[in-house]
Parts: sequence; structure tokens; C-alpha cells
Amino acid sequence: MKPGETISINTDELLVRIATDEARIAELQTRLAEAEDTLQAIRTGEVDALVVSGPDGDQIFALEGADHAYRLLVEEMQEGTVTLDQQGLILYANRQFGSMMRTPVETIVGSRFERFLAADRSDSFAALLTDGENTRKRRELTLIAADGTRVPVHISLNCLQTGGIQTICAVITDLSEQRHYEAMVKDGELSRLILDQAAEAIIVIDARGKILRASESAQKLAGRNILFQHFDSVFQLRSPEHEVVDTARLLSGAVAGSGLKSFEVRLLRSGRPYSTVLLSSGPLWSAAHELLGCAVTLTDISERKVSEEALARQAQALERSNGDLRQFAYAVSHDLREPIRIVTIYSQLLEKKYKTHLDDQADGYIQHTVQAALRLEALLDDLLVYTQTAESPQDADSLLDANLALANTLTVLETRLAESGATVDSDPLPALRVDEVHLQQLFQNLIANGLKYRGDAAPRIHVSAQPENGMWKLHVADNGIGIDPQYHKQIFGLFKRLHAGDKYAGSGIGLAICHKIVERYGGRIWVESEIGKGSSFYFTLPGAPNP
Amino acid sequence: MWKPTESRHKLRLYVAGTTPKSLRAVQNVKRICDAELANHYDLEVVDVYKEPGRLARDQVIAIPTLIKFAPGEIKRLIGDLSREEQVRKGLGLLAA
Repeated sequence: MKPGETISINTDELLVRIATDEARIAELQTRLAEAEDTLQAIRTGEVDALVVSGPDGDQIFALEGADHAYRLLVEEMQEGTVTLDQQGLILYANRQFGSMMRTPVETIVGSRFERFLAADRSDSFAALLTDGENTRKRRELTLIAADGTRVPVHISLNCLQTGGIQTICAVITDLSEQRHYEAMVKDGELSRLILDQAAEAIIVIDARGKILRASESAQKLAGRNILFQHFDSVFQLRSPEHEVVDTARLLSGAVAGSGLKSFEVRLLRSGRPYSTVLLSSGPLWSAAHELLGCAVTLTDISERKVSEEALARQAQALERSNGDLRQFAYAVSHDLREPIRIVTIYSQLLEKKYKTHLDDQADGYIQHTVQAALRLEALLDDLLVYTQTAESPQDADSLLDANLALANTLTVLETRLAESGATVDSDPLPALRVDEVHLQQLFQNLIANGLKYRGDAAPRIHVSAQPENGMWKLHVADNGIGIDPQYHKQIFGLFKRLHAGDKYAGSGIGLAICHKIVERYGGRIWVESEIGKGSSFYFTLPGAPNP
Repeated sequence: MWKPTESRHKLRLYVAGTTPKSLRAVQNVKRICDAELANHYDLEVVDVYKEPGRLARDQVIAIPTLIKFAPGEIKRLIGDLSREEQVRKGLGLLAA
């Protein structure tokens, strides 16, 4: 509007214009609301495809398309992938490449690939990108990660024409792990020498169970070349409880920090009996404390095992023949009793009825016969007790009051004690973990011993006990004739008697029975004595906890 | 050329993997920014396939989208950024 111009507005016209504008505004508002609704629908995922106008008509873009699988593959694959343009600008990188370079992917795309190259290598890499001769190229080179780590990689380049741009796709494989193993395996002549000379089978496996090194004897044990094979496919190992012992177990044991030490396992072999081997394994750690693998040692102990088993078999045979002997002794002593009993009875009858009818010589013969028969009978009785000692019930679980056992023994010996005018006294005795019959036999034999080998004075016998090394030591002392120290060991053997049969009656089995009983309970028995000074018998037995 | 005394450009580009328009968008934004801003910009390239969660945050509905957060008002540019004049204008690199 120019100055001086008069404004003349027709009110009606103005009202019409306002109405028109209002209508347009309302229309625009409706369209805007519609557009916002559409955007909202797309944003909230209510649509699954978009229609885009192009020079060749409308194109449909599915939001979850067929390329989804490939995208995932590229994103999740173990190799790094990058897409570069010919100037080395990174247009795309997958996650793996980011983690290889220890750099967030967001800051990789849009930057230049040369940032990951050593300064002196960027020119040759640039040349590689622009070299149009070959569309496929492979190289090994070292990249430098954000934290300065040198990462040896294999890079495979592929030139592509994508959407009108010349791009280069690179697939990058991290070789650090492989280099690490190579370094480990290469580790000097020394380890090779050790492996070759070791008598044990030594096998070095990586963290996946692949055999990287194996000693001569390992190859021999397997019976074939086992390098670079999987440990589990070569050595099938089972624990004595038939559990599978595989690399997973060895490696997890190694991670837990508890390598295996001389663990006995069975090595299964097809068509042959299993071998018994001792297995030891220890972890191999990298400098960065990653588990590289394990060193496994297998020692074949089959031969040792065989001789151990032979020994066990011999022991078993011995045990069996001992048992047979016991059976025999028992049968003999048992079966002989009856005929001997008859001989005793009839010879005694003969003595009684005809003593004065025959001459003196005949009387003497009969007397000898009777005595011998009685002795034989006593001998058989004792022998029977002796053989039964081993057969008697197992160790008592409950405690037995030794005072009671002694009292019962004295009741049995009452007549003999009265005849010899002996006195027996005792200190308070402990509770013992033994069978009552056994304890009574011990007391009976030792007290009877004191009565039998008495001196001129009336026999005095004292019983006491005291704790010793977690057991109880019992002491039976008499005032008898005593025993020459040179015989102290012998007297506990079967049929050992120091005196001629006539003076002291007895079978020579009593102390052998005592010895056998005490041994059964893991105790020991011994005597302390001198000629003319009485005897002290000691024996140890398990019992109530010592005070 | 953008005057270095002013604040840095903060840019975020949303792309979708290796689709042609995404690759071109990266190339174009780098070319323009390197020419106009030298080192005075921060560019973050977000691959929506890697981080789908970020789409909602910046309310992105189409790919590629370039968002300028600074300087000045937030500005969105959709497409492969091949129309250079429009991009310069959007980034505030041309006199209005």
C-alpha cells in the first residue's frame, strides 16, 4: 500500500473473506490432524509396509522384510564387517568390528578407516582401496584399537556397486587368539624336548579341547597321531564311578582353580580292556589371565594295578586257606571230643573197677591212660575255644561294664579260687567296647594262670585299668612264680608251654586265645615279669572315652 | 566457512544398515561438513538395526534422518542428503 492511498473496504466483502479463511483454516486443521494420525500410526508400529513414490511408480517397503535374516547374520557374525567408500570413509560397521577396535560403533561410522592403521601403513592401504585391477583382495595386517592394542587381522576386501556408489566391503577376522596359540605352541625347544622325553603322556589342549601338543608317549597311548584332534574323541575317560571325564570337566576344573591331581580314571579302548591311568591337569593362562587351555598328564598304571590286584587275590586266597584251616581245626577238635570222652570214661571205669585186681604195673598203665585221656580232653576243649574266637560275633557296638564281666568270671572260677585260697581284688574298671564272652575269657585265662603258676604263698591277684592312647590298658597282676623275660614273647603262641606237663596242668592254648581276642579289637597284650616276682599281664582294649 | 568462534555443530544421523540411501547419506553429510565445518562438529551415526530403541527417543519416522541439535533450533533433514543446498540451509550454513 502506498502512502496517501485511501482504504475503502466493503464490509460485506470483508465478512466473506473472513468466512473463506476460516473455512480454509478448518480444512487445513483437518489435514494436519490426518497427517499427525498417519505419522503416529507409523511411529507406533501400526503399519507393516510403506508406499513410496518413485520414478517407476509406487514401491512398497516392508518394515520387517526378507533382508532381516541377512542383517542379523551380518550384525551377529564373529567377523567384523565394514563398508568403505574409495576414500576410506567408513559408511557402515557391524558391532563385532566395534568390539574388535574397542570403539563404540556410532563413532566409527562416518570416520576414516586409516584411524585404525599404523601411520606408516595408511598409504599402502589407500592404494589397496583404489586399486581397480582386482575386485577381491586379501591381506593380513595389524590394526590398532582405540586403547592402543595391536590386533592382528585377516582382511578380505570386495568391491561392490551399491545404489550408485562404488563401495568396498571388508570382512575382518581377528587373528589375536590364533597368534596367541601359535606363540604358546612355539614356546621353545625346551617344551618339545620335555614332551618327547616324558614317560607320561602329556597333552596340551586349547580352551575348546583341541590337542595342540602331545608327547611321544601320548601318541603311543592313543595308538595314532592325535595332533589337532579333539581330546574327547581320542581319549574316552571314565571315573571309577563311570562318570564321563571330558574336556569340559577338565577346563571347568581349571577355571575353578582346582586342577586335578593324580585322579584315577579308566581309559576306554575299543576292542580291548580299559587301562587304568592317573590323570593330572593344570590350566594354562595367558598374560591377560584368559584360560588358553590345559596341560593334561596321563600315567598308565595298568601294570601296577595288575600287580596290586594279584596281591589282593593272594591275600584273599590266604584268607580262604586260613578259614579252611580254622574249619579243619574246629571239625577235628569237635569230632574228636566224643571218642576221647569215651576213652576217658572207660579208662576211668577200668581204674575204678579193676584197680586192686591187677598187678601194680597194670595199675600204673591204667593211671597213665586216664591222665592222658583227661589232658587230651582239656586240650580239645581249649582248641575249640581258640578256633571259635575268630568266628564269634563282630565287635560289640555297645559298652560293656568290665566290673560286671570280672564279677561273672570270679563266679565261674569260684571253686578253684576257694581250693587255692586265692584272693582277687580290683580297682574300679571302665566300660569297654568288647563282647562279654571275650572279656570273660581274658580275665579267666589270666586269673587261672595266676592260680596255676602259684608260688608257695596263697595266690593274690589284682585287676586295674588306666587310659592309654585313646584305649584302656588293663592290668592283671599275680604273685606267682614269674616268667623268665626271654620267654615273654613266646608264651602268647599256640601250644607254648614253659613247663613239663606233669607239674602244671594246661593245654598251652589259654594265652594264645587271649592274644587272638585282643588283636581282634586292635589292642595288644604283653607281660612284665621276672622269675620269682610274680607276673603282670597288660592288654589294651577300646572303650568309653578316656577321662 | 563456518566461523570457529561459534559453538560446535552437534549432529546425529540415523541410518539403516547398508541400504544405498544410508550409505549415501553418510558420504554426503561427511563431505558437506568436512568442507564447511572442518573439525568443528560432532557427528554420531546411529544404525537403527543395532539400536532400534533410539528411534522413539528422537521421534524418527523415516531413514535416513539427520538431526541438528546445535547450534540454534533443532532441525531435521530427511533423505539421503544429496540436495546439497537444502542441507547447507538446514544446518544453518547459508545466509538466509
